[in-house]
Amino acid sequence: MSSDLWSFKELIWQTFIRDLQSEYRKSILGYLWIFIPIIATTSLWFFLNSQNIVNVGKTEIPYPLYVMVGTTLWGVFTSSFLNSMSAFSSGSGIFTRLRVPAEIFIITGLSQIIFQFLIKTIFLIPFLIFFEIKYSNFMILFPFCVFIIILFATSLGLLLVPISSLYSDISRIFALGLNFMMYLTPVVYPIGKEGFIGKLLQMNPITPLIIVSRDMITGLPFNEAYILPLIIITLTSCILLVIGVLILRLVLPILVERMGM
Amino acid sequence: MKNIDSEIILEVDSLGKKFSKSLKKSLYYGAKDILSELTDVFLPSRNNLSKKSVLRKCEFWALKNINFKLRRGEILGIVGQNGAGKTTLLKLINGLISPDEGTIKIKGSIGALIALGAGFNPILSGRENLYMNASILGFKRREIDLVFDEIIEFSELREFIDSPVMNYSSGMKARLGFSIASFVNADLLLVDEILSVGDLGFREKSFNRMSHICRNGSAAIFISHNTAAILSICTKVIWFKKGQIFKAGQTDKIMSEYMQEQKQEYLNKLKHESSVTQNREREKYGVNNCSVEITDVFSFNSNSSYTNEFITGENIGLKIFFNSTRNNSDVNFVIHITLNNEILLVSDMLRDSKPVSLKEGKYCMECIFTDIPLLSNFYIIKTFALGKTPIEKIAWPPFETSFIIKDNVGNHAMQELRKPGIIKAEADFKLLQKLDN
Repeated sequence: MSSDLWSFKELIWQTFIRDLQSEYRKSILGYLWIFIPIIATTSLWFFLNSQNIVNVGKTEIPYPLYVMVGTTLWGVFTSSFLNSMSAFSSGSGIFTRLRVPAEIFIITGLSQIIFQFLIKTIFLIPFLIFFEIKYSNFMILFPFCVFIIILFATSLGLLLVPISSLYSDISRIFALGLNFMMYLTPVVYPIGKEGFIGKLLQMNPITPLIIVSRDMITGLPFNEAYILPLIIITLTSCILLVIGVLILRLVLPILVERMGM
Repeated sequence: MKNIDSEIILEVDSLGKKFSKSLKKSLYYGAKDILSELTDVFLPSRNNLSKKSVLRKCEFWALKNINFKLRRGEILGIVGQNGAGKTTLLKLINGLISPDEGTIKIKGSIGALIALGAGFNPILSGRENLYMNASILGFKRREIDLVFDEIIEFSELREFIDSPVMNYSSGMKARLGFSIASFVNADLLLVDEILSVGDLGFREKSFNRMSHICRNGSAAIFISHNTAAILSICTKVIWFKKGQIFKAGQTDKIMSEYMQEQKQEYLNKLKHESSVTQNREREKYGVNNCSVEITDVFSFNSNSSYTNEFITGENIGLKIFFNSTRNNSDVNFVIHITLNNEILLVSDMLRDSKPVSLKEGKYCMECIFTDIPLLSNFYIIKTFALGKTPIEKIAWPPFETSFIIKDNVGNHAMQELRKPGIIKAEADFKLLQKLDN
């Protein structure tokens, strides 16, 4: 299976380059669009918070940085989650007509997400310096945490591909659901421990991922309470990923037949 | 020792594939199939095989009972009307969809010349798309670099290779797509109707390249509506009708039968169309205005036997039967021989002989065209009658009959099709002298 994909590494590279070249070619601001959404969300929440329209409570790091890192991480999660479904449907014009593994389109989508994430991380550095975040050895763990986020999101998204490529309801439901999900995750405000919402936030599997990742990049110490959830999430993701790929391979002929001839 | 020449590359055994007519049902069945596929894997004890060969509501067999073998060196042509299942067969062989019945065994690699230019990105330049498309088709970057110039040369797009593909005409896109795809190399080549791209010059070029690839490859399956292409490339032909093999065998035999049926269908269609227009014209002019009604026109050859097939240069005779509803003087019969509604030959009584006077009653008239120089094609004869002036219609609308002219050079179907031109020109060729010393 993996050797099969390996033989297509050049195609993956070509597709990656193609997407990179074509994504912003029809735009004046170009690659700035990678940062604009982050800046906009951060400014919005900073404004709401500073005017006391919304009171998010106290954060351990300066609030703008909190939102900035939070939205970046949340962006990685949602785009990785939706990537499997969108990449599958945008590549369908090719793999329903030519014999090319469908996973290629998911992989190139992911590489696009990783590439954009790297740029966003570099963009974060001046802000880290500005808010006087000191270097800590935990920062090295940041990429690993993000990797787990991508793995988790992809494995979930992949499981939905067979049904979502038949019925477009699925991707619509999840695109909408993710909007709500954001408010049940400590993305723009810190987690409350009490009450119904607090319980929900605690149970949300994305919560530990976001919190630990943000702690790592902002130089906070590793919260040991999250070690077990992280290990469980990582293992589950790996198992789900393998199952997802196997199912996809198995049912691909059925999907090709129903998606477009 | 095994004989290489007769090695079987592809074996298709009692293949069947069903499709659904309704989209909603198709999606529903798809979801059900996914579930049953998964339960098959996780609970292998359940036997689902028998279910697959049963038609569910709204389903039909797109392909049924397909059996054939393809040996090394053979080029199989597949003909049939749209919707006969040709492309579905290629998809099954290519492994894109799986059969509901039967098996497909393939030895070696498959190359596909289908879906030209799939995945072209309109924003990217021709050069960028070329690399992209070639790697979709399985080329390595190194391999593309080697044939890059050759591809561009073949596509005749060197001038535009760096402009975005969205500015290309559809013909240019297809040319680029063909040029890339035509560099594939495989044991079994699948080709689906890709010759009709570009202008005439490019079509001829791609046809030559196509036959070259097919002959160099080990085996090929070739789908085309271009009968001349099938005749000159394929070693055998399968004729599909409604998802089943209607006839299979030697190219010449099957194709002449196929073309015969095509012609018949074409003629039937013409007959239907002309009767429709005749009725419309009759309503328009009113039957009362026309005092002569042509009831039938038959064509016959120099042996006086009725036929609608002639050979270039042969005499064509017409028997025209008509009713005159009253006494007419100066009736001028006119005959047009037309091709695709273009009038090619005109015979006019007023010019060629003398108009006739008719009494009330039934008549039969004979008219013989001598040495008709028309080359092979289907022609329509329109017969009508005018009065002293062309405005006065005595027998109208024109009565239409059709005939076929075949070439006199043998009757090999390919030669018949390959002759260009409409009218044969007689000329004397004489080699005069050598000009240099």
